[in-house]
Amino acid sequence: MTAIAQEKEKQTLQQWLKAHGSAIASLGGLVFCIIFFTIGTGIKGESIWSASKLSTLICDVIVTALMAVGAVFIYSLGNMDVSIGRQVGLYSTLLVLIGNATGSLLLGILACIVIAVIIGIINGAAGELLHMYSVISSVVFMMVISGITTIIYSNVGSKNIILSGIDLSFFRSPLNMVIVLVIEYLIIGYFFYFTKFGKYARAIGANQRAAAQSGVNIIKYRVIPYIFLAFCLVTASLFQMGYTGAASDATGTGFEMNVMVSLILGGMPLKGGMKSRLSCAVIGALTFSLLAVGLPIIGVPTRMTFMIKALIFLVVVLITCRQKTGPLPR
Amino acid sequence: MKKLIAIVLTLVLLLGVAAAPAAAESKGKILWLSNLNSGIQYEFYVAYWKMIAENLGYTFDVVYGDMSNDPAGNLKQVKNSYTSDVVGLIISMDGGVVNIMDEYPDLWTVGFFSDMDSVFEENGPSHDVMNRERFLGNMGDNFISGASLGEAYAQEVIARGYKKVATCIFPAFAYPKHTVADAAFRAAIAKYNETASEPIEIMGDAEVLAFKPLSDSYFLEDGHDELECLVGFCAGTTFIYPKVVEAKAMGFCRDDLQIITGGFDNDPDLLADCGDENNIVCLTIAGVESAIWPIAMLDAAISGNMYKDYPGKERMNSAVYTINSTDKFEAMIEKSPMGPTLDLSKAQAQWDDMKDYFTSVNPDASYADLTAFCQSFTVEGYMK
Repeated sequence: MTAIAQEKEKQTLQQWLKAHGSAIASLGGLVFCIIFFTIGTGIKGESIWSASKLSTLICDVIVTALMAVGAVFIYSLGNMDVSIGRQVGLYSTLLVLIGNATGSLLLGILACIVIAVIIGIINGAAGELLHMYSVISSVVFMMVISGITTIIYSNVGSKNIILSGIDLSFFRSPLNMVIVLVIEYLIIGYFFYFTKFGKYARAIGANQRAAAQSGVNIIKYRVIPYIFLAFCLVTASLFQMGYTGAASDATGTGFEMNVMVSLILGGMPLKGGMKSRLSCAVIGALTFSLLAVGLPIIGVPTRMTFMIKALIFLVVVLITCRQKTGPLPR
Repeated sequence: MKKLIAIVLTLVLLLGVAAAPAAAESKGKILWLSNLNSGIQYEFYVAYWKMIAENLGYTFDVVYGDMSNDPAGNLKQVKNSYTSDVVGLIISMDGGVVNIMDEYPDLWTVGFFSDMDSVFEENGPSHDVMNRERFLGNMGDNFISGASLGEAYAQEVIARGYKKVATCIFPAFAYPKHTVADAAFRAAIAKYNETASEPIEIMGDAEVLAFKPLSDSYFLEDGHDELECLVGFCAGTTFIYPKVVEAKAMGFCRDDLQIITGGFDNDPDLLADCGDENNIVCLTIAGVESAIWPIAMLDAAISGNMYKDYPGKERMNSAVYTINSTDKFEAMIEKSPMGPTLDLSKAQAQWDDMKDYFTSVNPDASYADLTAFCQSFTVEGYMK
């Protein structure tokens, strides 16, 4: 091989690394956790890849991953929705109540979709129409839904409600969880990467003014991602409720933080834009769950897991972080 | 530089895993699905159970339940912490207990300090647990019956001669026992008033605290500024006491207003304000040594030496400490294991005192004796 050819090959590799560097970096956290826990649990003689632990891992990851896949659309706008957790709590509650009343999940699912879409439309449009950060309308919804949930459980007279008479085994099967996640990923991925909904969303996140001057209908293309999120949240709620066949006044509490941490771990640029990638959702959620499931196996006392998680989070962020400037989500 | 830090941290973590001592030969691990994650009582239970577990040949670890007792949250926590050596589970949260037992049908499970209404009431969401062979019953957080707590507080109010009192509870949907306690309290006071020369006035309905402290305006409403005693069936040391201190400083209530409530905290400022002449005049808490009961039940079931007189799953009171005098508060601070720092040697039952109640140590141990022993502890026990 001549020196010129070698130099050309080197340049090609550099170009490839430059083009795909962020994607590789985002995998760093997951790869780190996989190697760390494969070695760590191997030392302790109880593999994290055993069938039972793999099942636990999938059960742990599914709800966060389903929500995060939808949330990528919102984060790509440079927005954030903090009502995600309370919405999942409300939909889980409605699925139980309507399911018990009708003996079927269908009506509950339809009701949840209608409510979720309405909330999504308001969340998406309010920021632009009222000239405020979109996160503010989601804060309002978080509080309103929290109040509604409290009223529902006060009237029911119990903190927990159970769905009876409906077979929920579909929602408890790890295989079904994976299949549904893959389907959701492919559908959202199609819209995110191959249609103008995704392209415009990322364009708005990158530079809203430029997008508007290029003829993008800002309100429309801000609202549509929230509608995608609405469907993802109802799907997540089905698995959340189906996992135990129950809901409580606390269901969904803190889920929005789980989504945010997962996206950060997955390498999502929080200011959105063209570098937003759907894979961040699954990579991050998987990394997050690996920590939750792996640490007890390697013998870390529960009390210590928070500190160890923080250390590993730091390692992952150090490996993956590359965004030095830019505002927080709006 | 970032990469260097990452590499160093990685090496530290991996070396930490490798260097951790291998688990000694044990009969398995006992997990506690905890409703607490800090405080002196939490520290006591962890240390006490660890000591007992080690003496019996088990290991012990804590799983932090979902802060709001969400069924899916609790199930997830247990699943994530479950390793192949887990043989027993102490649950202090009842959300999702059915799902946990569905997931691990061979796991012996016992309730402790969770009132488990959801399990023991026929229409409760977790009532199915009553049909599970491997559920061993529950020891409640002090009185299982809200009525007993209400009557106990009424007697305290009568004995102390208060004439204007009010009550605080948590929402009924979350703590149905509080509503029962409040009703029993009112009934006991009404009965007293039938023959009393000077009746006791209960001012208004119970104040429902939605897991938030007493409202700032509480003492400005409905004559509450005349109250002599505030009875908190909820966790009054956290939700009532600070607001009473504030109200007194602002002159919104009587200077001699006192609190009767539940809960214990070894915060020095709080403890300094307990006693006959201080803000908190009476506290009831579960006797912490009652923690022997659930681990004894698990040990009997795991070792296959179940008590011969075990009548099947039961719901029972724990020991109750009624700390209602300066002497008793001082005893709690100075002579109990829950003083300013945890001191397990001050517990009323040490290993030698309790070992004969475990069937793996003494095959002739009886369930009746174990239960009576675990319910026998009093605050007076620290005063001897």
